[in-house]
Amino acid sequence: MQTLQTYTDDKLIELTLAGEQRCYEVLVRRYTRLVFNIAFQIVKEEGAAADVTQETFLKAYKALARFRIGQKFKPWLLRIATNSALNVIRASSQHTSLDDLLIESPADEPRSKEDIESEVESKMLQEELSRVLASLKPIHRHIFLLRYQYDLSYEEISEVMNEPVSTIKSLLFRARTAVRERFKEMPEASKTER
Amino acid sequence: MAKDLCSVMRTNFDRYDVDSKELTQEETAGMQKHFESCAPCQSWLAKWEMLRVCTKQMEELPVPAGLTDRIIASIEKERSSVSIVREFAFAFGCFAIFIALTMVFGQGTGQELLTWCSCFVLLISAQRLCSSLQLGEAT
Ligand SMILES: [Zn+2]
Repeated sequence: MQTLQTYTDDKLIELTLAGEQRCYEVLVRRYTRLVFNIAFQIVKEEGAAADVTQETFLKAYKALARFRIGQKFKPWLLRIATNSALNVIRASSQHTSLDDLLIESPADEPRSKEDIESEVESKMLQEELSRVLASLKPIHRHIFLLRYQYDLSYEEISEVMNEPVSTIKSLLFRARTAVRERFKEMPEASKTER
Repeated sequence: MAKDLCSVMRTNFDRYDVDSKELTQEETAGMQKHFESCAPCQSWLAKWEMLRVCTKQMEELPVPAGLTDRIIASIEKERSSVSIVREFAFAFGCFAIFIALTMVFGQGTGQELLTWCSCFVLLISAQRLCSSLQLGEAT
């Protein structure tokens, strides 16, 4: 088991497909935290995120024979996770498609200048950023975090979201602009960009 | 005018992620030149960098206790259910062949059929025993 942990994803998949079931366990341990966090970003509830994580690994296991060696496993897995999480949201009624996720809910509106100014000055930067991110449209938040927290490339995000790279670029542009506009520490950025 | 230029540069910076190399060398150089000579843009960039680093360092939620084991157990369950289905398919295939062979080469008597069936049941039981022993070893 010690050496298996140093194997690449491709090698582990190859071995799993050849009947070495313990190798898939290594992949599960390697990516559970990432998948759980990605799922949580979308479903916003720990229990549901845990269920999505379990479903993701099970779906990936069943589909493993269709996985092309050489393709990247992480975006492939995250795409399954994203779709599963979106299904949970759709099932809970308010959204029906990815496009619907672009529609902003009243809770997503940026807070007023007065609200921001009245905030306690000592508030941690991290907390502020979390608040800003929470106020973004779900699709913007998701893509922003895939890019800047998890370091996925445009191509990888495109694979995760099943959208063309051009769409991802445009969504990321809007996400970055929204983060800046809503971040209280960056007043001049919002002034010049409007 | 300067403000417009700042706005254009910043929008370009946002639209074309620096790492993606979408802009021509001249455009990138022009953008860099502006940023190096423009104090408000430098402060704007520094703030963006701070946001980027902060995002990167954002704490992830820990995996809920027992989740990984739950996932592994569900995969194990899936694997064994798939292998049971395969075993049954294999067993029925063998059975069909046994019956066919009895019909073609044997006399097809009830006693002969019974002997074949007993052999078959013994074989399958031995195979089941072996695979459960292997499973025990693996876990
Ligand atoms: Zn400038």
